[in-house]
Amino acid sequence: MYKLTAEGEKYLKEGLPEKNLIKKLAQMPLTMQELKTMAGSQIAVSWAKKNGWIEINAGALELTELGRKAIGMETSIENGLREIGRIGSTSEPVLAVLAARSLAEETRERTAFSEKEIAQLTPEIITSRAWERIPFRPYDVNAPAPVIHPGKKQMYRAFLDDVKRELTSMGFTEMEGPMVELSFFNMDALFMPQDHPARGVHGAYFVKEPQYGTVKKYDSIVKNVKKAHMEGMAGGKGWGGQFSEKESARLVLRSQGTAISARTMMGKVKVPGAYFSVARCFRPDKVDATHLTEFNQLEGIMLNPDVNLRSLLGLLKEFATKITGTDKVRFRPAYFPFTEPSVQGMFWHEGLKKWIEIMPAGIFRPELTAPLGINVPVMAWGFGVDRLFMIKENIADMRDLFTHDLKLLRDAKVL
Amino acid sequence: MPTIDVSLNDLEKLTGKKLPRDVEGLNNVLQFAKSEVERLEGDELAISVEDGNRLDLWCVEGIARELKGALGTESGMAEYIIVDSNYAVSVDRELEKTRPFIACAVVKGVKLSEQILKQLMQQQEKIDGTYGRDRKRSSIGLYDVDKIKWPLKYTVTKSGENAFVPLGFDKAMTPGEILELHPKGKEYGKLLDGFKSYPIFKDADGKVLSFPPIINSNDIGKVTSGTKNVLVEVTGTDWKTVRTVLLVVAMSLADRGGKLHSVKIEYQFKMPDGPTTVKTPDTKPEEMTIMQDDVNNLLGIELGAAEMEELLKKGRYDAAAEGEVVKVFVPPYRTDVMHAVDIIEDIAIKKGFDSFAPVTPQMPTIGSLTKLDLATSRIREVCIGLGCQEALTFVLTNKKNLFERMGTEENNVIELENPVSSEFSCMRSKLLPGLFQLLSANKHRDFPQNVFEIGDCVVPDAAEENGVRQTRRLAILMSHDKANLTGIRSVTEALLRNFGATFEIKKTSHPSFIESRCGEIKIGGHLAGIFGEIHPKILRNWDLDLPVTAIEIELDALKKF
Repeated sequence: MYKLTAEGEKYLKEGLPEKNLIKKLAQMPLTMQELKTMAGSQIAVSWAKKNGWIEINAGALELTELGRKAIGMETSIENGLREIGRIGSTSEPVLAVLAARSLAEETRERTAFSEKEIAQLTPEIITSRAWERIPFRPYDVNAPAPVIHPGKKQMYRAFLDDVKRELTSMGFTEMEGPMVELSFFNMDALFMPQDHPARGVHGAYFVKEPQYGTVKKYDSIVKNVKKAHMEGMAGGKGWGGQFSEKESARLVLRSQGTAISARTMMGKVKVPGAYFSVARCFRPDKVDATHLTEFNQLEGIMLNPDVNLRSLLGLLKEFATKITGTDKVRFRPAYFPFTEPSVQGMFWHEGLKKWIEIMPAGIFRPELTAPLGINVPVMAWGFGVDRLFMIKENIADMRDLFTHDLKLLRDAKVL
Repeated sequence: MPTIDVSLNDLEKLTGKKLPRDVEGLNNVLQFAKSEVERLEGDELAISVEDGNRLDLWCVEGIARELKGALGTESGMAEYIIVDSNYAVSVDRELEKTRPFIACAVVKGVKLSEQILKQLMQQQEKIDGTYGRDRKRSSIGLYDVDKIKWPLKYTVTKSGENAFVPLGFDKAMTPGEILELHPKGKEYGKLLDGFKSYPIFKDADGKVLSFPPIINSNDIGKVTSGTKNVLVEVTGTDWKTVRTVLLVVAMSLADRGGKLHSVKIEYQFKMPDGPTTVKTPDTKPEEMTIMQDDVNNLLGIELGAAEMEELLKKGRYDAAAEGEVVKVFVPPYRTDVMHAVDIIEDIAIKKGFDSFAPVTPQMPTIGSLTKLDLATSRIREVCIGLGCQEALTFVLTNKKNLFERMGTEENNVIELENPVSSEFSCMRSKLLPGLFQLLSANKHRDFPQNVFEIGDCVVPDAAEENGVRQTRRLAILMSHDKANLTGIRSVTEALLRNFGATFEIKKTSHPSFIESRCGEIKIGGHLAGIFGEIHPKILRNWDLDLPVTAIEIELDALKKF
């Protein structure tokens, strides 16, 4: 047997606070600020939210469709209060909620089952076979159950997992590199002249302290790269101008994923070989809906004597199909300091009805590969994988990829 | 990449061919000039030039020049006749160490309209800003020839002499005053830092034309609509750049109907390529050779010599095939051509990228993920199994979040020299502050709130070639009304057991945690992490009202990857 607590009696008489709240809300707009002064408002807001009756937007309470409907209906909790008042019991799930809210309490020690009916199954009931003679108390499957949120992957990282799986299945090996990088790998080894505008304070973040690392370990390669810049190499004329080893050692935050490819090619690279990386990169940009100051690049290279413009276009087309599901792609000339020829790959977005530029790629210049000791053509690309995900999931604000909003994280669908 | 505003009618007139009036159609044509439509509104067309090295394309005349080749109005190298003349400029010896180079051209009979003037200014701005490295490597000046007394002097001045009225002002100022007071002086003055004397450009009467690379004279140093004869001057620190920029500007004016006249430059010091007296502009092409096989191998096609020749001429080169070799004459403004591959790309562009049938490459390799990535995935699974929501936050943060709000002393952090905002001014050395930021944004959401992140952090380390040690870390925050030490210790042990780690847990104290409710994790004898109940003082720093327990572990300590 159950009885109502003093609070329960009060609610039975005056109505549930959450119900009173939505009734009031139907008559006048309310903000969280205004509610602060009203007694018991916290309980009311919390339950009204749990029931999905209201939403809070920028501090203002908004009645949902569900809330509007609830105003004129008796809820299971209200019904429960009435039943306990009348007959000392109600359905099990409602009892649980009422007890949890301290609106009702048991009048004597609770038993797992009465002789008349079975509520919660217990080992005693199961083993005693009591269920053969005593009926089960009917439960209401429509009664509301508490909301739970499972642990799960962050949605954007889950997407990156898919991309990585796809690439490894195609035959690409993952490569890695540091976020704080020597200018040598971030720029010099990529045949970006030392006075290139993208090497200035607007193109990359510089480390305040220590300002310099060391390129000593790469002495012979630095010499090659210097030669390629100043005098030319592998049939190229070079940039001329200056080249300082000190500048090579200047520390920056990796501003392009290609730095990782340079490290890979200089190391134990296999020919033929195919490599990729999802690289966190940093650039001094103001953060807004379409720009982040750190972003991910899907970077990759393929080294093979057969690499040429047509096989590059073929690979890009394959990517577009795998990642976006469309084979409607086209290519336009582009310019990147490290590749020649360079292309911009686009795919047709049926929903947006437009071409999306998303696949900058090319074949590394011989002046880039030769100093690193690579003698086969190398195709390379660096996709804005953040934008790719935004387009795929129809996300308008890039900041949502790194969201702090638990609701967004919890509501994200896994399928 | 430079974006230039042009009039579509003007472009059409200069190209001499009817152009499409829709974006799609225009893009199909503009791709031959490595460009695309940025915006089209009636006659107003904004073109994005997708090449940071093709300064010849950063003006409507240059795009038209390229399109004339692609659309067949003209073929081969664009021809410019240069009338030999007696115009002369002498260059002072003292400039050798500061801003040594100057190149000039006189363009006669050009009749500047407002529209042409606007295009010229735009070209000047784009080239000075990027190719000219913000006027350091080169800067352009334009003058009315009819107001100048020849010969001219590119010489030096002290900061307090040679006062003149600069553009936009109405009183005479010395170079020193200009650097201090004139907006352009303030903007570009840094280019003259450390110079004992400043460059100055004067005519035969000693009147100042300009104070390169800062500002022209308001008197004889400007062109207006109606100016018929123009002097183009480029000064700078790199001879090749200076010559190239001059030629590109002179060609634009010639394309507007002007006649080019040479200017003799007499240097009083050694020049990079020999003679001290040079005539500018110089239109002599450079000869290069490409192998037919190289072209076909790089593009994956089979072109014959005649086709290559034709495509090269479409690209405004001159070319002559001789057996396996194609001799290519590269126009002197194409400084972007540094290797045969640059010419080969032009062949591909002029052939049209749409004409290349993609071939799926053979992949004779077996793919794999890094050990680090595989281990991270396994660890994520355990965290998710413990009921935690994964988070992904920024690597960039600030010292307030990293230290002040966590109640810890400032130490060991990589700061940015050029942050754009104070919010993102250093790199994270720990993950927990990022997760606290997340929690504090979710006070009104359902509890329990259990979140985790696995990510990379950095700390300074002089022993590393890049000055930092980068580690992969795991952090968990659990917040609900019953969160306590026992609960988080269970989670910590569950994690470490599942990682297969040999670990010990010891009592420790830490300013972020409640004294006696905080443990340190040692793996293989080394301090690898911390866990416990967060101190209410810290919770208030993050504006949190429910108990929070936390773990942070450096995963590298596991020595499993």
